[in-house]
Amino acid sequence: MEIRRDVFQAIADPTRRAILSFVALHAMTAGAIAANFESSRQTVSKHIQILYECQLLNQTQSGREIYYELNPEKMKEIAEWLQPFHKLWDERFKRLDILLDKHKTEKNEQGQ
Amino acid sequence: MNKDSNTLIIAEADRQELFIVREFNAPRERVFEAFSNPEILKEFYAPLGLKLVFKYADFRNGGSYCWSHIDAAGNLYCTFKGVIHEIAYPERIIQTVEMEGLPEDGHVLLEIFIFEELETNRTKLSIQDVFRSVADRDEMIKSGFESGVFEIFGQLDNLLKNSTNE
Repeated sequence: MEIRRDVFQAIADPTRRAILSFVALHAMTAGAIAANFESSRQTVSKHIQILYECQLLNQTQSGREIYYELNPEKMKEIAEWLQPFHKLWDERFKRLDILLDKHKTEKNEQGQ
Repeated sequence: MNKDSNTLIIAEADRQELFIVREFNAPRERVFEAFSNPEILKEFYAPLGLKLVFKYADFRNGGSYCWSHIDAAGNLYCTFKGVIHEIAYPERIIQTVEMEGLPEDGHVLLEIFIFEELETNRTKLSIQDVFRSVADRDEMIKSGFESGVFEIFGQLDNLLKNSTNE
C-alpha cells in the first residue's frame, strides 16, 4: 500500500502534532525531540521524517548536529484552508459554553 | 493556527470525512440536549450575526428538521435540511444534512455526534461528517459554510462575552 505523505495526514497524528508544538518553540535535534516521548527513538524518528517530507519541518545543520524547526509557511497553508470552517465551529461552541454556564448558575441558585 | 481555541478539526487529505472535537465543562446530558433541542440550537448554532429559524424541527428517531439562517433584516442566507436517523440519549445523534439551493441536489452528508462523559461535569463531543465525495467535503470546508463572510460581526462576539461577565 502506498503511504500518503501530505500535510493533513501529518497533522492528524497526535504524536506528530506534539512534535510540531515542541519545535514551534525552538529548533531541536531528533534526540532532543525523542526525549519528550515514551515511544522509542526509532518511532519518533519516523514521525519526524514524515513531518520533514511534508515540509512541515525544516532541517538546519549546525556542526555535526541536524536541527529541526517548524516551517511556518506550510503551517499557514493548513491553517488558512481550515480557518473559516474552524472559526464557525469555534464561535458556535463558545456560544454553547456560555449557555451551559448560564444553566449551571441557574441550577446552583435553585439548589441553594 | 488558532491558539486560544479548544476546537480540534481533523480533515485528512483525500478523505470523505472530517472530525470536529471539543470538550465542554458540563454534564453529558446538558451537552446532548443542546444539540437535540431546537430551542437551544437556535441560541448558538447560527453563524455570528445571523439567526437560526426552524421551518420544522422534529428531533426524534425518524424525525426531520429544516432551518434557515437569516440576518437582522430578515434576508435569508441559506437553508439546511435533514432527517434524524437516531437520537440515543445521551450518547449519540445520527442525522443527515443537506444545504438547499446548490446547483445540484443530493450533496448530502451523514453527521454523527458522539457524547462522551470524561468525568463529572466534563463532556467530550466528537462530530464525524461523512460526505459523498472528497470534493463535497473540500467544498464545504472551503466555504466554511458561510462563516467567512461574517468577520464584521466579530464585535458582536465581544458584546456577547461582555454581557456574560456582568
